Amino acid sequence: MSKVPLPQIIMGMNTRNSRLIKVVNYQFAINRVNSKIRFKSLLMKNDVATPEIYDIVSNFRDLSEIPWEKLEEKSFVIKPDRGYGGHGIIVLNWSKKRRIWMKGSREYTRENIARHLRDILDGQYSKGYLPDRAFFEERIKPHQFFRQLSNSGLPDIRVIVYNSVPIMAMLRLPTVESGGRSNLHAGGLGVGIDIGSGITTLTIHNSNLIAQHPDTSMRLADLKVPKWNQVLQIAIEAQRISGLGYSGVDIVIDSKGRVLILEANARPGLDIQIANLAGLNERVSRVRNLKVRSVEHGMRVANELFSEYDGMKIKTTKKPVLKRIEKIIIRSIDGKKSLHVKAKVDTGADSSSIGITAARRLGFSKLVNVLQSKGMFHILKISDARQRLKEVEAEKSFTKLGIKFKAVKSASGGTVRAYVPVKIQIHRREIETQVSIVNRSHLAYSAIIGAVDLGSFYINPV
Amino acid sequence: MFYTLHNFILSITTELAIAQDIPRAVIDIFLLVPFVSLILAFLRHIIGVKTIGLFFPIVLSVIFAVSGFTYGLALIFFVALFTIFGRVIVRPFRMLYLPRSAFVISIVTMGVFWTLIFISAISNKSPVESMSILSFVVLLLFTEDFLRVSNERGAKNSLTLMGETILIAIIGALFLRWQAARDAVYTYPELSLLVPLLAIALNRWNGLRLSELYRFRLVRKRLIVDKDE
Repeated sequence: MSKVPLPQIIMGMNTRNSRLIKVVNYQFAINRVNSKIRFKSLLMKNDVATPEIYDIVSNFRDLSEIPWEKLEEKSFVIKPDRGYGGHGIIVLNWSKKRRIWMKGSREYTRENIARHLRDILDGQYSKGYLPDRAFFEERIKPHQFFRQLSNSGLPDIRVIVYNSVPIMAMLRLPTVESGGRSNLHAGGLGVGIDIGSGITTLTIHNSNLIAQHPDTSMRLADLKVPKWNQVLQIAIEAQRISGLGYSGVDIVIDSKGRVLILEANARPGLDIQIANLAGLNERVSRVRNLKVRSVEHGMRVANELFSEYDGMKIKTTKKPVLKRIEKIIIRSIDGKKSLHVKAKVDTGADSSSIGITAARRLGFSKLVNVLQSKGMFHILKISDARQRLKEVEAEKSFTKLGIKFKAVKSASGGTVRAYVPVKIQIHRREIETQVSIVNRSHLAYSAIIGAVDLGSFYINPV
Repeated sequence: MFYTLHNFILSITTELAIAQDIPRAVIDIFLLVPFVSLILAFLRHIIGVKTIGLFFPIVLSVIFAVSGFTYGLALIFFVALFTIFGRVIVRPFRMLYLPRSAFVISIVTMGVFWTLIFISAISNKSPVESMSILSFVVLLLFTEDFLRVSNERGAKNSLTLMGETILIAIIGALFLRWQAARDAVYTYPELSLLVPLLAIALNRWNGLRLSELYRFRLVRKRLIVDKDE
């Protein structure tokens, strides 16, 4: 019952900055990813998919040379090269009817675009207000999977890749509150994804756990993210190309099913740990010393190490502990008759059994009468037992009720046992099972719970 | 050895400063600012308090220490007020970033200037001192940061950030005004040499910040449950 030394498992800002970013993220790599244009062209050179760049505006002279003819009829996104936190990004949709771009429901003219480009060039959206470049990027229509989850903005997948191994992942969904941005700080949602299966787990909104999308009320857990293997593969490829040792790679899947890299971050946020209820430090330490030979190797390692989906399921339903004597409820299969009894927990018995009185109360009087008249609660000769078995098995009214019979040998002869279907409720858990009827009139408890029905419990024998 | 070092530092700092007719208050603040920065680093690195920028709270605490809390807080209030006002009235003009900044800054400067004159006129106190003008200029530099934070994190978040920054500045100012500390560094100016050493010690802390224990409370709960099973 010892408590884990927590700071070693959860990554805080201090650890991230001093143990990872400073150690494995070299300045050349940080420079590489800080410029979106530079990183994207590097990805393209290496045949890694990323949204197309239509045009780059590097200075004020470029402003007068924007290829409008090429851009018209197209929908695109304007981004600052060194922007951060989603600032300065505008999405423009071409309206065929009005023959102009629309920003939401507002018309957006060439003059509006040029004005925004000037703001970007002047450095309004870059760190330290340094002069910046702007670029026109292909507008991505999100995959059907994302469209049903979120009604605004472009959802993406953040994968933390360290040493060529994807160690944690999260779906980022924009909300009305976040104004279409998927950044968690802006009010977007973070949905944890199990690395091994690509299935969503928990959702955080402003650092609190929630169950549904606040805008669409969609349930967000237990969903399978499409193209998951491709997502992991491209995430590793992007990290290897960036040169960063530790990076947060942002990935989108578009309506045609293409898996694309949006960008990579040299200092990815830490809230992803809450959405996954897992610590980054622990995962980093598990892959730190591995020699990962290839992208495929990295995927295999991640699959082996960070598949927690089944584990999470089990943990949400903890096994109750049973005492030697338990109060249980036995119900007939149709649920109409029920019986509260004290039962003995007996792992030595294979199956559960109930006494004659209990069987009568559960509606098996006819069966009990037959059994008693044939003397089947006593030890018989083996040959007699076989004969009785044939007799009762021939009775159709019994088989209709799902009653089964079995001949049992013992040291001094044999007997026939009748098994009746019932529901047993132990500790608020209901088990559908077959119990045998035995003569327990000389015993203290009218039921025994045997091994086959104890699988989902722990037992305290004292 | 210590005695000679002490004498040496003393002769090149306080004694020289006194000889140059530098006021005692200025010397005190110069010698204490390193400690304020250390306190700030501690609060951010170990406790996890968030502030706007790193230098803003330090500068703010100096302003508070020199000009008093009333003046300092009022100045922040009016600078913020006129910045928001300036941004509201500049919006319809749809100006570009740089001319727009010039516009807003001139609104803030004029607004704060006239307000200060007005207040000193009705309260019959001495007009704005030279130090206060400097503090105003410094504050102006940081309004940009504050506005950027408010754009990024929303009004509510940026107000709590501002609140935490002011709170830390007040702690720093109280330290700067603490007579015992002032006497200590004035008598032993080499105490300031401790700050870099303590900063190195501070750097060795890699664990979670106090605030992160709360931030990741759900993860911690889950981890403890796991271990117990």
